[in-house]
Amino acid sequence: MTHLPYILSAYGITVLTLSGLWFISYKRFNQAKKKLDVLKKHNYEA
Amino acid sequence: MTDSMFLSKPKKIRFFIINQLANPKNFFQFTAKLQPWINFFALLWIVIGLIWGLFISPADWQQGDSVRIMYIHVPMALLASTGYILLAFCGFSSLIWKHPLADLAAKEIGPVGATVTALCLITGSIWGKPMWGTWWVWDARLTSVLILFFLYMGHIALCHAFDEPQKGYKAAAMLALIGVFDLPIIKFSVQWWNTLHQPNTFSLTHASSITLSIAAPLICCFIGFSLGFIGLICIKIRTAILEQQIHRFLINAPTLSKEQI
Repeated sequence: MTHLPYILSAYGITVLTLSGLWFISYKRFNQAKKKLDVLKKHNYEA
Repeated sequence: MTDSMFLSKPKKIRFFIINQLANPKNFFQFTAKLQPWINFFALLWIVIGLIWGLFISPADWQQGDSVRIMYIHVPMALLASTGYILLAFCGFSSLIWKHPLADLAAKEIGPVGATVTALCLITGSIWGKPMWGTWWVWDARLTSVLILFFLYMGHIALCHAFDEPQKGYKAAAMLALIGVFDLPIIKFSVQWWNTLHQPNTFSLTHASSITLSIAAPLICCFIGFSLGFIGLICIKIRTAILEQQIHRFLINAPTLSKEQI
């Protein structure tokens, strides 16, 4: 019995889930940073 | 002169962690410098560990190649418990010391911990199918880890359950502290009950039962995933600090429309 499908699925699920979490976290960070910059600029101009 | 000048070195470090990093601005600046290094070393150790584990380390004489699932399953299991200890520590800091970062950190650790616990359960289940012939058994170890997952989910739900966030954070902190009872059950479940799950591989009191050629890539993976876990929590806490600042700005400048942002 080959164990390859089990090994590949375990590694695939882990790598994809953690990469996805990283991507979402960095996207959220960049969006927050951009929003704050706009707000700071608006506050400065006001 | 500040108090820190009169403290011994270990006390200085403790003083720095508890007092200096409690300030969100200090935490943000400190982790901004560390973040690229944590990310780099996390990726490096994970890549080395996974390549070593998948292609170089030998197959187990009993389990064959499926032992390679251990290189991701064991780090996820250890991080699931460690994450909960962190969550409980944040809950404790929030309730006792009113640490300004504790609630933010707990809110951000919850989803990461839940993900890691889910991965531990999924990879364990995938490993269980070829070894035990079943995806799941109501074994003491598996059930106690499932309870840990539900504790994480409960914590996330409580953080978002109230209109007033502070109430939610307080309830979540209490749940985090109560839930600590599950950690010794997870750890000792394989000793207290007759389980299908194998006994602990690593122990502080006994020599490891696995050979170095299998233990080395496992340690590499554990270091890598741990650094990744720390990096992920840092970026999420930094984001939460930024979002808190945005919230304050919006309260002070409510005329700014969503389109402008």
